[in-house]
Amino acid sequence: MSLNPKLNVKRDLSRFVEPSRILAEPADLICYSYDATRMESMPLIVVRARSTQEVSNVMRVANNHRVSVTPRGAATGLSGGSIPLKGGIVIDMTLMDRILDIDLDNLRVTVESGTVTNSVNVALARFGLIYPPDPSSHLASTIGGNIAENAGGLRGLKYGVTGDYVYGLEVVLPDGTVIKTTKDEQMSLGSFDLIRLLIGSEGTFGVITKAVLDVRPDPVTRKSALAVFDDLRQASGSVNAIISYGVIPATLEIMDNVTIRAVEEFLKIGLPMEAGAILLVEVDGDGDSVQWEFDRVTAAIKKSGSSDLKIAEDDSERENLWTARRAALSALSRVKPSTILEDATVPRSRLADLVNEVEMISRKYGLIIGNFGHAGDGNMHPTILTDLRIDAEAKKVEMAVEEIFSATIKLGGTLSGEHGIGFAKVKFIPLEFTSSDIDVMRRIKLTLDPNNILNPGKVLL
Amino acid sequence: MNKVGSISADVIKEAAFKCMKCGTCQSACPVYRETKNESFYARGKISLVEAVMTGKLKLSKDVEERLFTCLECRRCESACPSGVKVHEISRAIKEEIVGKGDLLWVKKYLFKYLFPYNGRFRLLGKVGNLFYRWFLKDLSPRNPIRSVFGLLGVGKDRVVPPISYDREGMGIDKIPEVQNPRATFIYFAGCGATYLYYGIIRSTISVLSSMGIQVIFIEDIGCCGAPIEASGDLKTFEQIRDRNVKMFNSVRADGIVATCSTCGLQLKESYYGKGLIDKQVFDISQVILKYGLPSELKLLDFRVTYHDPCHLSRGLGITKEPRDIIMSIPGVSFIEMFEADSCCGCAGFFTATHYLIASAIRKRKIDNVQNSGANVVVSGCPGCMMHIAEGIKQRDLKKTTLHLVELVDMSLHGNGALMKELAKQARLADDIKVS
Repeated sequence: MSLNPKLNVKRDLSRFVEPSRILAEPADLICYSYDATRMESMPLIVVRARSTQEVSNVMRVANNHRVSVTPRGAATGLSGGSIPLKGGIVIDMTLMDRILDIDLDNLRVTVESGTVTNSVNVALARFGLIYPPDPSSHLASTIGGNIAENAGGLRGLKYGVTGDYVYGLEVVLPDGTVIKTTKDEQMSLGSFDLIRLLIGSEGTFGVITKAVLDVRPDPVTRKSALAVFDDLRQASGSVNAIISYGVIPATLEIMDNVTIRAVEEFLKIGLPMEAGAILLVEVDGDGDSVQWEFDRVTAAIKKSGSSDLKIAEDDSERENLWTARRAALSALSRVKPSTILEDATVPRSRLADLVNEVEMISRKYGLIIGNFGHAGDGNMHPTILTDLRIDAEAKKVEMAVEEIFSATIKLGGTLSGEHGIGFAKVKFIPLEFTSSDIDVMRRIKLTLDPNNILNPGKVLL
Repeated sequence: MNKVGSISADVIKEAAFKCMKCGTCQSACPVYRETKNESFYARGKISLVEAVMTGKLKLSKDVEERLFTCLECRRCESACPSGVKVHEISRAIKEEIVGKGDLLWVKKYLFKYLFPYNGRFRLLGKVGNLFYRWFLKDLSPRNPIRSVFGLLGVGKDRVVPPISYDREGMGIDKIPEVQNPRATFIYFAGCGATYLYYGIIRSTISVLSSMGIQVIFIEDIGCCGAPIEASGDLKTFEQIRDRNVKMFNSVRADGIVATCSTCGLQLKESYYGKGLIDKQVFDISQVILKYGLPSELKLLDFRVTYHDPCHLSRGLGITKEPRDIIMSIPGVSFIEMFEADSCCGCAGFFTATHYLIASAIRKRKIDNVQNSGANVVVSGCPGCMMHIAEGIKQRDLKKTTLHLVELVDMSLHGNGALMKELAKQARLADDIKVS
């Protein structure tokens, strides 16, 4: 046996994976060292898995050599979940991208976990079906990554998040055991809900290899509007007014003045540059009910003090509104060299308070913070625009982020609306959880993964 | 590193720092789609460049190969939320690689001994034409001679395009003198039209002349230099460019018109954009639309689909003009194909150096062409035409590949000499009938 761990691991891996799918050159390793947080850590070796059996074998090799394993999809995550913090093996899941079955009777689709989120919807389109979770990265992100981070999206308010659509999973546990489980089976067991345990476990409890997802009929009609407000607090208040009128819109998004200006400068589609905030709202369903819901929504908006209401008259106008929202982060990122996107979520009723807090923090540190997000879910994305290469700035950003999260927790909120904890937010965990909360979760983790080899350094251990 | 190629390292660092690593370019990259390898698309390439600049990684052959596995189709740039100029970063690092003497040997020799010399190009066109007519034209897919292709490092199933240098075919000796011209344009034909598809030149002269535009054809102007600059050989490029610039500036004209999307983009970005030439550059579709087609057009019973060349759509922002022209031709039914603006996989040298990836990318394009049900594929770039035509022949589909200006010419002059020329070059499918 060689003393070089890399050679040993490589030799054992090559017993069941052909050499072209084992990457060990520095040029390759660098490309598997990062995700959308821009943090990086070099893996020892990358395996590009093609089957569940291979993933299971990788886990056994890793246990034998006591090297860590980090599962990786498209690496579009925003909390560092797929970064190989302790080196070790990265399992690249992107080659496992087959859509295995579309079950039209039970409205379910079975996919391998490396399948790109958007391609599920492309495959479903001709059957008039949709898979509702739509994280902004859906063009690149994988289903496995979405489940591991429990990703949300624009349609979350009415349709829920990724976890709400997971019917069944095939998972490789840290010791290499393969388990398959579905919601129905869980019900007959009547006790442990393994699926819930695995959703949002950020690749620390097991490697997801296949998923059975619930799908929905595509709503026939959609109607959108843009409401202009003088300030962000007023707009946040309007969110509660809309819901209290008995309507759950499919999408209810908010953008502050900083974001509006950035988007307008980027897209030039006639957004109100002077507005303090705008709300973008969409209702969907069948024709009559959509009109009824839409009327209620517009009534609520007018009553809560909106200075102007623009209704999208046709599909292209509607598309324009949503292009504006989807461009928010992109447009903000053009303003300054560094963009720090945070993910803070409070109960919907406290949205106005969160917005207040962020504004105060922004003034206190003299930082530009664009604030936008899924208002209907109380999920905001305060985005700090700065230049992290300047040390003083980086320090200020660090303190501001910490204050944003403290404020979020104080308002009864949570550290992550949809991006996960990864390792970017590990240090904030004690803000939200007591030591006994953390302890029990750690015990579950160690039961499944006694050597702590699966995605170490993330979330708990 | 103080410099990357001839660009200051700070400039490249700044450009690379704009990349948020969000991965949006992943879904845009045709090479990633086929290889699913992180190091083959923009986010990975930028990370490699950053690692080389910080000294974390050596600029080894391994890294160089990855950086050169690129179509330059710029889909990453148009998808990028942060506006990262990927092609500028890529060009600088390629220049660095060329400086090390690590350019692929074939490119090295072709750039040095062929591209700057029109005479050699023409000779190659003439000799190549003999070979083409003698046996390459009708070389069956199963002919044992194809094993020689393998020895030469060329895919065995390759279909050789109609190589030629045909002055008569091009019609450059008989450019009509237009009385009281509405405008005068220098026509820049480029290598693709000159040595493969001379019908494009013939049609451009014919169409523009019947629109009352005086065409000036400067024979001594050579390659625009796009493949050379894109490969990072700036010295050779500048040598070629400076020669061309003198000739462009020695003639009075209202502008330059190009029929090759890459040449058009190159002249616009690296000649006009740098203030070296005083004439604006237009694509043929822009000129046709600006001055308007003559009203007497003949009926063409074609089902046409249109392929967007990367450098025309994303490079020059021209997507609507060609479609408007196609739809204005009487009798033509236009069918939009799926993913019309995705790269065909040719990318100049790329299809020779990375044939496996190039043909995997093309497979999707030909599927889309086939599903559209069209019998004529129109495009605005000889490179795309060549690559698509090859894919069509390999599958033995009865479809004709035409340049936009050839289609317009057919509608203007019907069953004329052009059709004979197309048949002579084996470019016409059997089911095309012209009234």
